[in-house]
Amino acid sequence: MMRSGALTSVQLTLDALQRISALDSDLNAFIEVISDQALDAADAADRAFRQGHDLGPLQGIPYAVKDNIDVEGLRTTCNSRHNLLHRADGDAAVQARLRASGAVLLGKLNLHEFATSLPSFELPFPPAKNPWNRDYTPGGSSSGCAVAVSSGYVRTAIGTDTGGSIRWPASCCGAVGLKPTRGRVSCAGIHPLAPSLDHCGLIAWTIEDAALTLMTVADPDVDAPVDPSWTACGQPALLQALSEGVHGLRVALPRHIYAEYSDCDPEVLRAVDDAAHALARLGAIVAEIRLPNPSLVNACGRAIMAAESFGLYENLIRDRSVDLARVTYQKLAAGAVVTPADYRRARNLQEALELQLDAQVFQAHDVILSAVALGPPPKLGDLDQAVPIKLQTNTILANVTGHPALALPVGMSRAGLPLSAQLIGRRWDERGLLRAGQALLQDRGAAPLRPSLHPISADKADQTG
Amino acid sequence: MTEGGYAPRASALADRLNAPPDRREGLEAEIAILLAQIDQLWAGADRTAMEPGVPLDGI
Repeated sequence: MMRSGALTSVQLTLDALQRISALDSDLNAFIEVISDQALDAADAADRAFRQGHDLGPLQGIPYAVKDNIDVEGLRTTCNSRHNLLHRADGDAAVQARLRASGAVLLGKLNLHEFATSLPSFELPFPPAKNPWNRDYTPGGSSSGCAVAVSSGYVRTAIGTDTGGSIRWPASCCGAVGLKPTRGRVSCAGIHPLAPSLDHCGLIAWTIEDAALTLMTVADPDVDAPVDPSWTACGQPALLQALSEGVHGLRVALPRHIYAEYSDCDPEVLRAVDDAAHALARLGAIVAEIRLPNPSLVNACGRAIMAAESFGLYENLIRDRSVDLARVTYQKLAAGAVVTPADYRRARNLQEALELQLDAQVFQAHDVILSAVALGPPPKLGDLDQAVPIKLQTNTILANVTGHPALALPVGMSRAGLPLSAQLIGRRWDERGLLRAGQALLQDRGAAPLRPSLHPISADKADQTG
Repeated sequence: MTEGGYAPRASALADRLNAPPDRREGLEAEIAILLAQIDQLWAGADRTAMEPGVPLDGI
């Protein structure tokens, strides 16, 4: 519509800013909104359209980034008192690509402190709320990304995922969350948590939005073998692939990694089983398999994350622990227990798991289907207890091995919260992953659900919810 | 809250880190969980075999 002039980027950006103004004082998705700069960027995108310059599919489209991603001239707070004065002197690589694409940055999004696993009321910026039910967290650590997308502020948001920090919040909020293959999107200019597990990815409203964003932010200089179907097909072919369906797709179902856990919510179990049946009905070949013991995979990922994040934040933990929220301190400081030998053991296992997944699963299957989280997100009222809440997810496997993974909504719980499934794909095959995700979403009835949102304190009811 | 066998090591590490009193209980719990995971890593790192696919049935 913008290319034809029927809609301008300025109109779209103003609409998004108005929606944020009406809703976000309660939902807390944003840490900083840059209205004036956004409108300038939108005006520039409109001018470029009028002059016949086509910068790509995101030209003129509003987006936002998690606040651990550097944007030149803006603060990168990581939602930590320690970082409140940090101002970026350059763009992260992913932000540079988006800026060059003519997309319109609306601001920086909320997160858990330094992208760790749990939110807290002790942080400089209060926790984001789940737009489906504001008593619950939206998951995290890319909490603001998921809230901004599911609340309709933006169609796409850039986040990070070290153990599930894109997929879990996307799951909690009913959005699409994509953690690409390790190396597909550069992490340069992003504040690290655990470099061996960190990934940059996105949360989007639809599979198409996810595909368009991925094509824009993917690193063209990626120093790794790239699936020829990705580079050869280019932009139109990737979108075309989304409609190819799943006939003949070989789906592995490691049901034991969620179903055999006593705290797996029956509604999660049914939703993932239903997704497996839907794929089979659409022509996929679904086979149940067993993956390595998920507790061992979790132990591997946790040991690497604990050791690397302790190494990054040791001085802060030892000298200025009061700058950290209690839950962040507890998560980060525990890493002191990991010895160099433990770390080497975990890294060796990581390498073995990568090879094993390639050789034993993806030789015979195209995607793995599983749950994202085994239960609903925590309630905001349950935060900041003396002992951190335990989370059960199926997400860290793909951080350990680096395979691409997609979270997508597959139903609603009786309590009115979204239920999601996870697809893990062959290395570099985001195309196959998005194609399978599209088939599942379309089978549910096309458009994803959107929460009905109304400003808490404003007189004017939200008309677009 | 600290998992039984790991309590002394968790407490000693919290001492070494000078953990503030209001953060100590949760830190010891986190350390105990991590210690259990590290033991699992050493005990189970060679047991990662996957089973071959079988047709989906019964769900």
